[in-house]
Amino acid sequence: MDKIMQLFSNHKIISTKEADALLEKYYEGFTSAEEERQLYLVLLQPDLPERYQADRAMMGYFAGEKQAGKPKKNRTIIPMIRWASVAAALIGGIFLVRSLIEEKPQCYAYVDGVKVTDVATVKAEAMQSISEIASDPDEVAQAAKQFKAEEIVKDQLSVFSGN
Amino acid sequence: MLMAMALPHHLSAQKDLQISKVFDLYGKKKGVTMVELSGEMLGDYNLSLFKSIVINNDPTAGDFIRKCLDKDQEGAKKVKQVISSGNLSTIILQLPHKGRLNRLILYNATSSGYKLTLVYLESHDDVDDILNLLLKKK
Repeated sequence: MDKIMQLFSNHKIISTKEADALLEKYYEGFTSAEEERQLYLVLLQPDLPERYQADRAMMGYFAGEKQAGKPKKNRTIIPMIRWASVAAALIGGIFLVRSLIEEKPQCYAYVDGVKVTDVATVKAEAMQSISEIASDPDEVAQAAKQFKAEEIVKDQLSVFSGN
Repeated sequence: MLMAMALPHHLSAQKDLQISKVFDLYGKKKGVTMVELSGEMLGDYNLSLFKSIVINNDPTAGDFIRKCLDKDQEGAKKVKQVISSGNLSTIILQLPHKGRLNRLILYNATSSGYKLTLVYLESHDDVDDILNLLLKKK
């Protein structure tokens, strides 16, 4: 007597005879995708008769192989690599720009619109401009001293302000 | 933000000031001497940037510089100021730090207003050390 087997997908019920026919069709390679899916569900049921265990193993193997055969989309590693490369390129770019600019110490002067790059002349012009401000050396020294005194007073008063 | 990271401090630090316009506008004109020194060129002075401009016989430049200084004074500490006959003669400003950099603006106008001198400095040293060092090296 045919045992009744249940398909879990849509609560269809098939007999063992139908299941056998489906299996035979499967091994001959004539099953459609839908029939394969139905067969897979039949063989997945927990109280599967002993005689179908080998079929289940076989089906499981092929199902697993099919999965393995599919190119795996690496959804986490590829974006990480992509972002890491973008970040690395940006950081590299920043350091490159910095090094290009920083490694070139500036030393030039414009005198009446004419560029001068001679180091000694440029330094002399720099000192000349400083001397214009510090016409009296004591004046700036006084300012520096005064600045220091102000800082000391400020520091000492900060004790009372509670900061 | 990336630009700020990419630019060295001395390049980005001065550009946020109004006085940078003085260097841009007058630097290459006749009767003007502009100097820029940075990096190893300033090794003896412990400065990281030195920029100066001396403008001769240009009264409009004087007005322009004073307007720029008025704006740059906001948030800055006045180390020294001299007013002569109602006109700003000398001012030394300590600007807010930029990173670990101390920044100074020094300005002087002769009594006749004929010669205007503006200096911008950046250094990791203290303000008083910078000023004293510049005087010693004279």
